[in-house]
Amino acid sequence: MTVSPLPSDPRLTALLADAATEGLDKAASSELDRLLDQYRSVDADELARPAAALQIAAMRRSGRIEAMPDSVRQRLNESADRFFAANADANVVEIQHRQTPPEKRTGTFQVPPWTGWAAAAGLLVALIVVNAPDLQNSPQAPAQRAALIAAEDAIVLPWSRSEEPGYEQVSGDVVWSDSRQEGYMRFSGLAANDPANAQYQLWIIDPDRDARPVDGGVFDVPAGAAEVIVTIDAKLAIARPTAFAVTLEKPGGVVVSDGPLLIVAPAG
Amino acid sequence: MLDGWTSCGMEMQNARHAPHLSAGQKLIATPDQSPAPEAKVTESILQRVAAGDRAAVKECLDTYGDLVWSLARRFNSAHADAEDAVQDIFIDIWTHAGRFDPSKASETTFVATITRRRLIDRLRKQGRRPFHDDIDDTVLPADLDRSLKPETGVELDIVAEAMSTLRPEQQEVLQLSVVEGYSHSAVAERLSMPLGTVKTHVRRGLIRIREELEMSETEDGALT
Repeated sequence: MTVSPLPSDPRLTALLADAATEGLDKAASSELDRLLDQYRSVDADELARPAAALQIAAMRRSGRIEAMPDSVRQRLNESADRFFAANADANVVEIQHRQTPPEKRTGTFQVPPWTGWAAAAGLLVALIVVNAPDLQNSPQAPAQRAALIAAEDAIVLPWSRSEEPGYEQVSGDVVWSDSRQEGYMRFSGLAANDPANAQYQLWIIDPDRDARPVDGGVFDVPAGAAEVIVTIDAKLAIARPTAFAVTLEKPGGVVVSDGPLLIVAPAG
Repeated sequence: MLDGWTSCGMEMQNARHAPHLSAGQKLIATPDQSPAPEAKVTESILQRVAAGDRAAVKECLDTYGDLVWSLARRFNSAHADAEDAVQDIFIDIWTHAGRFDPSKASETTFVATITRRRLIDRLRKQGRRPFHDDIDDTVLPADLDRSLKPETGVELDIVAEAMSTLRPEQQEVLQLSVVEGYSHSAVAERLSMPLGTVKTHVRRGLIRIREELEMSETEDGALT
């Protein structure tokens, strides 16, 4: 390894030092990302590693190391079992969200009862559409999905068998964690779309939050993908989702959908 | 003034430049699951974790559990919060195990870096500061050296040495900010020092330690 001095950019090193010691707010984090794009040989942990090593050295010197309780270790072992079980089938591809129009929009239509969502296919749906989901740049979706499954409050909701022609064969599931506000959709058998003509759109049904579904973003399915994972990026806090539903819409998505709901994953 | 910092060390990893999508590319493989360089697969717990070796997870917990737990306890006054934190941290470690690069960092520092990052993030979200002297005396102390490879022990000696070469006020600022977890403004208040000076000491001190570590790595080769 060669010695690689940090660039003599005081703003860069200041942000790296702040990140290493007390963290960054969103604006500072974005600024650091921009600088790191500029200095490609530098990574975000350049000063976090010396800080970590310093803390270990101090703990070693003071002898202030506490043994992990057996109960915590046992809980971690159980999480590990779930993590690796989920990872075993995670060798799939991820599809990135595309951005929907950025303006904030809300729908105003009457909605059907939140029971029997699968039967609601084809009904007019009232929606809450929020600012577009950010593009998810993580290449880790399969592993992140597997990790999320290990979370204690994670729910895994399989897609119900669809009665919509051409979607009967779709399978997969939705993984969602309320505490993390994080989720992933997995599909097998979902037909490829032509993004120039139509895009899939996710709706999250959360009656505790609002009578109208929340826009979960638009996404595409490429031709030839046997299984795909889509990262959910709900811009509104989801309290207790009762169903996730997918429609096929015009490119960029819609504020109000007249459906049909192609596939639905109801909770319970 | 700090005493006891008599000798110093460490290792580097690169998380940011892990494989990423290029603009417009929609399909991604599972890079964290991809095998590490062949010669190192059997040498690293984390690389075996990344390769899906379930047994390596237990080894990971045995090796780094006490370290992660101790850090979590220092950042969390409530036992339950520390328990939740270590759950998140180890899932983070398993998820990102494939990013471990022994040419850049030892496993110990890689693990501690992830741990600190996650703990700092949690504190920021909760709007809290760490408790600094909350280690439970009724719990038998663990032996950190037991879980350290000899090379890591040498690295920590290098860190201590680098720390000892800093000016006393720099040492004090780093001790409070990095080791004890005080915010920069709290350090400034405690030491009656301008905030800008505190930030400068933190930045320069960490850069100095980084330089010492990288010089050591250049002399000794990649860390393990």
